[in-house]
Amino acid sequence: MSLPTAPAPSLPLIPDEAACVSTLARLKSASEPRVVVVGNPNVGKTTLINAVAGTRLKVGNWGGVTIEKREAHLTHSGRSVYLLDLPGAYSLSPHTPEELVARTALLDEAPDAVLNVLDAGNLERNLYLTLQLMDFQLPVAVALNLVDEAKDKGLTVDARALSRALGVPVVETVASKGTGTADVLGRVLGEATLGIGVRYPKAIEDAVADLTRRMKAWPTLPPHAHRYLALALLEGDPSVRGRLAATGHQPLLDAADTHLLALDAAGLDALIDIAEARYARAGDLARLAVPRAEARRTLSERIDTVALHPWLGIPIFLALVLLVFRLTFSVAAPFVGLIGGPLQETASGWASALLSWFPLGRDLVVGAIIPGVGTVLSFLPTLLVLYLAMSFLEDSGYMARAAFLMDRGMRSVGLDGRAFIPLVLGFGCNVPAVSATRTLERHSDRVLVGMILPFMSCSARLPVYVIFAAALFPRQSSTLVWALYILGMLVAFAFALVLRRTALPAKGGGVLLELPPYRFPAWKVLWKHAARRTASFARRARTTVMATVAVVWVLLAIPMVGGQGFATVPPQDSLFGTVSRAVSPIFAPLGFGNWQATGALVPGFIAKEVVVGTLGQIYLGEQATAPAPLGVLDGTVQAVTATWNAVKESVAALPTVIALPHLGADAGADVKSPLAAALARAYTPAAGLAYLVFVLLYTPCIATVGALAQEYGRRIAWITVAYQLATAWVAAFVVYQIASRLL
Amino acid sequence: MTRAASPPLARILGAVETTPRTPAELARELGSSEDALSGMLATLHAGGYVQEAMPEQGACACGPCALKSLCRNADSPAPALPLLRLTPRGAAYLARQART
Repeated sequence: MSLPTAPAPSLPLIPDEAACVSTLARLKSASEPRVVVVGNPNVGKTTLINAVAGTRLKVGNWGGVTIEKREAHLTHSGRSVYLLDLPGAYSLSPHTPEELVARTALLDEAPDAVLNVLDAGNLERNLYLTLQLMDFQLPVAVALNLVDEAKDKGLTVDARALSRALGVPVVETVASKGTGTADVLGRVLGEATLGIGVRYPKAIEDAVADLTRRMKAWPTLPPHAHRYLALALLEGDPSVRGRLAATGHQPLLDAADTHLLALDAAGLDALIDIAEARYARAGDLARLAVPRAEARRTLSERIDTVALHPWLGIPIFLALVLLVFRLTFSVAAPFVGLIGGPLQETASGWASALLSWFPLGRDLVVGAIIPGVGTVLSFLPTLLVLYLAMSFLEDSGYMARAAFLMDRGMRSVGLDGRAFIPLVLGFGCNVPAVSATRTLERHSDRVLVGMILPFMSCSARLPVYVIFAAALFPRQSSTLVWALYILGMLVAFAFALVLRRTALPAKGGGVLLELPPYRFPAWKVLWKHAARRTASFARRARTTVMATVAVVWVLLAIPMVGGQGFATVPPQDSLFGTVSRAVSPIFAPLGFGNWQATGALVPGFIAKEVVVGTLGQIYLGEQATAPAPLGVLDGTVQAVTATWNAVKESVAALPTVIALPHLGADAGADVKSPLAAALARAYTPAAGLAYLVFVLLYTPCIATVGALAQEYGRRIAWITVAYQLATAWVAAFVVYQIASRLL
Repeated sequence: MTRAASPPLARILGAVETTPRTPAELARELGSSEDALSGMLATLHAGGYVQEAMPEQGACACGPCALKSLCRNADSPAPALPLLRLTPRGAAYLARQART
């Protein structure tokens, strides 16, 4: 059987009355019955036609038009039948090109019957179209398709009740399996009837009656469409009005306008009253056909009974985040060691060889750029794995649940539920998170969230945690970093509570969040997200960090004592060292009153990544001033060997990811980069812990301060800087005092 | 007139009367599904009874943000979750419903 593509629908205006009459006469005289198949998108129309007609219809677009209409000629009981498959439409109003094509075909094709295909699992929405079809006075039969899927959803449709209520035959089908399809064509051709349409409000029905009476005088208007056209005129359907006006039916439009004025005067709005009547009837029919829906839970709902459990939800969330950190540390640690160790050494060796003729330049590159920027870049694997894991949680649908879980707690401290978005964004970078507070409606909410946002540990702080954790707490690294993130959140919530009860009183509102079904994310998408975010971090290392370490190098090279030359002065006697030493007593009560630790905190105000870069520059720079020059081949061999070892260590570490903290140490615990080894020598565990707490809580970076000033004014920005500095000092002091007694 | 006894479109308009809402929020509030409401929302939107209430767009650099699907303020010209709010035409219809 050939299946030619039908010509484009006759969207152009009807040229003249004679042509209209002629077309109608031709269609009516056609020897084969014409059946139009109509339904919502994705209800299985084409599958049903293929099952009925034994065809293999495929979607094929007309040139330049993204709408398809397909036809089939088949033989049923020895009689030739013409089937026309119309594009999926939710209504005939029409709001979309597909709906316009479907409506135009119903107006112009003068079918003998309409086969309306319904999705049994979504009756209420589908029946709106059915009821509009009944406004066309054409015989209709209904195929109740996808009954198997409806049953899976716990919906059992009473087809007989639906048939009685609609007044048309209803056939249950599962087109994809051929169930019930043998019956369909016979029922359409033999039993299709006009059905029981919607009764609109009396004033509207009176207007429809008048308009249809007038239409009888116009032979150009197909009789089966009189009622539909009258309703469309009252609804103000612009395409119907335009078409009728252009084809010489202006008196009808005038009559419709007169009716509309009268309806308006009576307090009726025909457009919504007509739609309201259809939706109400569709709802009644759906409830009649599906009197009781068995509440069958989907997989997502079953997972949510545990994931959103009032008592288990939060522990599960915290455990998942801990798992993310364990994964991050276990998989990434060998690569952090690789970049911070052997690769950095190789690069230093090559740079030393290349710049041997230019000692000052060599010192800058080998003593500042490579240890500073290299140390920051060594955390790219950590961030990549972290971003991959976080993207997985988001794309799988879990992050929406996390928002839901946090909502109650946030409201209890007076935060608007929507504050979750900027707060969680803050884990990535505080700057866009500050901008994202604009989603909050009240100014006081925006200021409150902006002021506590910097306590959310941004990704730039992660390298500091990682390097200190690896140096001082190698077997509990991931747990320590996880605890720091939690501490940041707790401090933020505590301040929210305080600010709400003092300076910014208001009541926190709840939020209705989307809870999308769980799904397994596409790896390609995860990789794309994670790679883009990691690349953004790398860009900052190339720009902000490089510029800052260059400035720090200059400050470290300027002598402050007599008898020393530029770039030959010991760091502690440099301008940087001298100023840092002057400030360091402030931090002595916190356990890290040495100039190196203090000195690294100051450029951290520019960008937090710089803290670890400066530490690398201070602790490693001096060792690296004169590395042995390295040949290309030797360096390559060294780098490849080290990379291969890192890959093996990373793979071997994977099974330890699910080990509970007290059962197994973090993988990579024994992998210590040169900077970690230097920090282990320079800090006690208590001092290191206090340093981490200080870095977590102290003043946000300059970009965040700028964003705060822009959003809420300089006063709020400086208040935030000041109170966070004070908070960080107090918290680090408390932590040091406690830890120095326990550790 | 109670909400439950209201006609379906009037119930939707009542739900966005004071606060703009997304289709999902409406579905949850009205005890329905987004699928069931989608046609009604299209009808109301096309008829000018509701309109999209675009959230204030900031300089929020969403980029590859992991929370984009959650965020009402995602920097897209056509956000996935349009907020719908009542128009004067919708308000007039609601007022008439209240009178009857």
